[in-house]
Amino acid sequence: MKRRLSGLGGWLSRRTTAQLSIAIAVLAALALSGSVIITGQAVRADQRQKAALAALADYAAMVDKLGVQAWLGADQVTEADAAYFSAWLTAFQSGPDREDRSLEEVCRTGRGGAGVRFIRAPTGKPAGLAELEDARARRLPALGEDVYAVRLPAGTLCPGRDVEVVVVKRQAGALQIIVGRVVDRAGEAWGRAALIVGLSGLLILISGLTAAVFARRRLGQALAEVSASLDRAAMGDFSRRPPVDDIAPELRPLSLRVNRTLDRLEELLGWLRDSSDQLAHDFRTPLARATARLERLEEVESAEERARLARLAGDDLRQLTRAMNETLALRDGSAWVFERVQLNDLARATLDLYEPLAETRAIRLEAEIAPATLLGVRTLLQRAMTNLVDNAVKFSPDGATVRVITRATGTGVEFSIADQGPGMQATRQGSPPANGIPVPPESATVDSHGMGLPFVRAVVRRHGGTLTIRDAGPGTIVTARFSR
Amino acid sequence: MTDRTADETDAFLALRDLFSGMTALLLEDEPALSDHVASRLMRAGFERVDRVESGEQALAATADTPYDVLILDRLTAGLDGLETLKRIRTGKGPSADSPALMLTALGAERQKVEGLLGGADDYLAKPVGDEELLARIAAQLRRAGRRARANGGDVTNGPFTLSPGARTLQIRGADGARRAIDLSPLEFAIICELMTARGQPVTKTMLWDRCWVEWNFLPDNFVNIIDARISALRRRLKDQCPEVPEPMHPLIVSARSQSLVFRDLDGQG
Repeated sequence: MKRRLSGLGGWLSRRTTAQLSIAIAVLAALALSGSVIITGQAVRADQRQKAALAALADYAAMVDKLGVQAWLGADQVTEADAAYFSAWLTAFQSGPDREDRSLEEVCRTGRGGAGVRFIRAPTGKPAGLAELEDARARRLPALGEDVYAVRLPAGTLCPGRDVEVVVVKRQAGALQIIVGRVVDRAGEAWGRAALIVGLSGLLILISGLTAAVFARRRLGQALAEVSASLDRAAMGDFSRRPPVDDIAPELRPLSLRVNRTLDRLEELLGWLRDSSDQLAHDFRTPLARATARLERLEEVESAEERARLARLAGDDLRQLTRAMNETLALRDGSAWVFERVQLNDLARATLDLYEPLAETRAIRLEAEIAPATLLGVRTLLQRAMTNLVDNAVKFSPDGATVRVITRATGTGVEFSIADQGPGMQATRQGSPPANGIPVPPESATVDSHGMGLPFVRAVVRRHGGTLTIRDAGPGTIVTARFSR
Repeated sequence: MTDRTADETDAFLALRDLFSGMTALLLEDEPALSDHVASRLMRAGFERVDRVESGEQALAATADTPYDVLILDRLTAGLDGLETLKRIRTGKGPSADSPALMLTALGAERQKVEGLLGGADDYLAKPVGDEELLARIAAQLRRAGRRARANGGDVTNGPFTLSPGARTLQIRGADGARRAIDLSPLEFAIICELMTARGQPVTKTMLWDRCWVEWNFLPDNFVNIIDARISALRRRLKDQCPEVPEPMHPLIVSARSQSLVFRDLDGQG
């Protein structure tokens, strides 16, 4: 049962709205036509009954007027009697109080009412319309005894049209009498009703089709809008968005969803573009240094210097590997799964990790850690925080203090790492800042302070946050702020 | 410093004994890398290194030859390394249970898990240094040896007894009584890795992988982080083990540039 329903549901769901509207219009028109046909048949039965009653009255009148002569025995009817009947029948017009129409009028208009007769006596020529006797007659027991319907083709009664006649066929004494009336083809009232019903059917059909065409066009336009926006987005242009208000209401939720998805994609693509610009720097710097060192290696004679250059070039390659790992971490599948992350836990773990290293240089790690929860990618946030603490420890002078702060703010959460190192200014002399991000110096001796910062910035932006770097003279405070 | 240098050489020289007579199958389609790895293995003491360039050749080679270790590149023409390993593992060949190292450019966490689930015993992302490769192979051979001995019990080294199951390190005092050495869980994990290596070198990356398990990435500065941790651990051991003669300290010594060894106290009396 369920399967049947779902089968029907499935079939319906594969039809378009326009197809369904057309189907409904056609069904409505069919139902109306059906009712017209049924009404027509009822009207026809009524007309037949009227004709039958008139015919019966005619018969009664005829038998009455013929009087006793009709009741002569068959052997008593003479040739003269037969001639008399024939003459009489020609003179006899109709029953007493029946509206009557002339045959001429009936044949012209197709309306009923005209009478037809036939008498056959045992001798002599029969009188009246001979076809009444020969034509195939259909019994109509519902309308009375000996009542028949007879169809007379064109040319018999009316020269130009078929007529239906209801006749009474009876034997009156020796006489075979057939008296009938032409059946009204259709009642006037029925004609009007049929016309009105037909017109309304047409109206329904037309309005149904119009609605279908309109709905189809409106949906088509809305879909075209959405598709056009998606096509543009597929080519990297996110400026066009499908309308949300001026659109078919059925498609509004879709349009809203498409808008949201496009917003998200635009944000992600922007993030990806910016991040790769920044990360490219992380690749180029060690690449350039390694290239320069390998070139020098060819010229240098001293074995000691050659060993030093080879070692430094190895360091550059390791740095490249690290930049590559970070880039891969950004695009790794897990980098897209958000979960609840406790920044305070990340900070605690990072401090534990760096504690022994800081101790070796008498650097004090201070924690100002308050609960701060963020929806984010744990590994990326952990990497970012580790990078910042790593930098801070690396560049702080011995005996200095590095402070790690996490806290909830009015609008979200933030974490900061404050060091007492040389500060960004000291390390980035000579290179202009790119997009407000300190550019790593090209110094060959010290690992640059800015190294890894593009990665941190990309991670922070991935979480919709901002990274600010403030000179604390001495030292630097790097703060990542996230809104909730 | 000169002492340490001597130790370094010894620790890696000790691997020669482990590697001698061993055979390896190397699946690597990059000739330069293949040459390099094979020559390093031979120099480290391997008796034979069979080199193949495709998974199909590797299957053919393992069909009738037993290898002590399989080193497979993951991305190779035709049948890839991972699929090859799966087939070797499910096959009935003499190398079906040999330890396997996946050596590959695909180093993401997910790929690592795929590799380990595919039957690899260790999964290394290129580039891999010689030291790392040899120490990792040694670790796999040790593990295979342990499996063969089926002795999951304690490890002793001089006065020390390590019970991995009970998670304790004990020292036999001058009076013969044993007493436990106080270690943090991380410190115990480090000692455990180093002592079960029985005098063979353990690289810092290996230590990071096994002991800092909740960190699923290598921080830039992990070498310094480990060095600082090891320095603290050396001090801790020295403070708690006065019965170990002064020249034996530090108990944990460096080997080459990236590795550490727990000194073999039995061999030195």
